[in-house]
Amino acid sequence: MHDFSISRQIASEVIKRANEKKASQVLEIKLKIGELTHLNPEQISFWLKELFKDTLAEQANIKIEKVPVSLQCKKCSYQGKIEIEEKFYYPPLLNFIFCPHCKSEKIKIKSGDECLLERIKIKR
Amino acid sequence: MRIIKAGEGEILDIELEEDFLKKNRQFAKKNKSLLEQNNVRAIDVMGSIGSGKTSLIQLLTSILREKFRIAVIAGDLTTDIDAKRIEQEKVQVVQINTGKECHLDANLVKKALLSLALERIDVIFIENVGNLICPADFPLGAHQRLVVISVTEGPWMVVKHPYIFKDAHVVAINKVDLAEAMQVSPQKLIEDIAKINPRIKAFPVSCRQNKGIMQVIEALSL
Repeated sequence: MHDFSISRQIASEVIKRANEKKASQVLEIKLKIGELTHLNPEQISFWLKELFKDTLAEQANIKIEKVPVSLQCKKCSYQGKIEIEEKFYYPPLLNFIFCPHCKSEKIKIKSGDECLLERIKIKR
Repeated sequence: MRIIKAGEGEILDIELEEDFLKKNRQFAKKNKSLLEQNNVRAIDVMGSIGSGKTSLIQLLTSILREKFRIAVIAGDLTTDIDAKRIEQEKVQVVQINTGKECHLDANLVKKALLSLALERIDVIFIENVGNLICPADFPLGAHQRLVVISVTEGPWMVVKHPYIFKDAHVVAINKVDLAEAMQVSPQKLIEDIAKINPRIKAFPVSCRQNKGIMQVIEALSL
C-alpha cells in the first residue's frame, strides 16, 4: 500500500543524486528489499517506471534484489540466516523470530528489513 | 598536477546505500529518547477505519486523566474531527494530517511531539491513520502498540490482516455488544490473534457500554 510513497522517495533521491553528479541519463538503479518488509518489488518497479517518465531516469534499468532474513542472537551469538519454514502460519511475517540455534527471542535483525537504494549508474 | 576530468558520455557507478525504511526507524529511535528524556510513555493506537480508536482513546483519557497528564496526537488524512472529539476531555491534542499518506511516520510524529509541552505530560496516545497494513512498517517510537478491532469487521478480520498484530502488545476487540447481531465470536478472534502472536493480551471491549476498558488499562500497565 505504501509502495507508492516509498517509490516516490526513491525516485526523488535518484534524480537528486543524478543531478548532483551532472548526469545526462540514469542507466541503472539497484535496490535491495528485505523479505520482512511489506514492500512488493513488482509494485515498486511499476511505480518507479511511472515516476521516472519524462525524467533523465526514464530509460533506467531497475534491478531489485530480494534480501533474505538473517539475525544475530544476543544469547548464544549465533549469526546467520533463518529458514522460513512452511509450518509458519504466515511465512513472511515471522512474528516469532527466534534463534534457530538456542531458540532465544533476544535477537537482532541483521538483514531482511531493508529498503535500500544501493547504487545508481549514470551517464554524464 | 594531473587533473582528470570526466568527459561527456562517461559512465559512473555511484554507491548510495540509502535505506528508506531505516530512516524512519532512526527517527523513531530519536522520538523514543525524546519521550524518555521527558519521562513520557507513548502508546501507538492502530486499527481500521471505524473500529473505535478515537472512542477508546476518549474513554481511556477520561479515566486516566485523574492519574496522569495526558496528551493525544490524532492522525488522519484530512479533517480535525478526531482532535475535536478528544478536546472535549480537556487534554492537549495535536492533529496530524498526512494528506495522501496511508500511515503516520516517525518524522511527522517528531514534529507533533515538539509542538507539545512534553515536560508537562506523562502519557501520550498516538492515534494512527485507520489502516491495517502500512503502520506495521513504520514504527513511531512509542513504547507500546495498541490495536483496536471490532466485531463489525467480520469473523475473518484477524486472519486476513495478520501484519498489524506483529508488533502489537494489547488488542481491544470493540463493539462486543453487537457480537450476537453480527454472529461473530470475540473468543474466536482472541484465538486467531494468539495464533499470530501469542504474547498479545487481547480483551473484549464495548466502548459504547463502557465495558472492558479497565482490562485494557491494566494490560497497558497504566
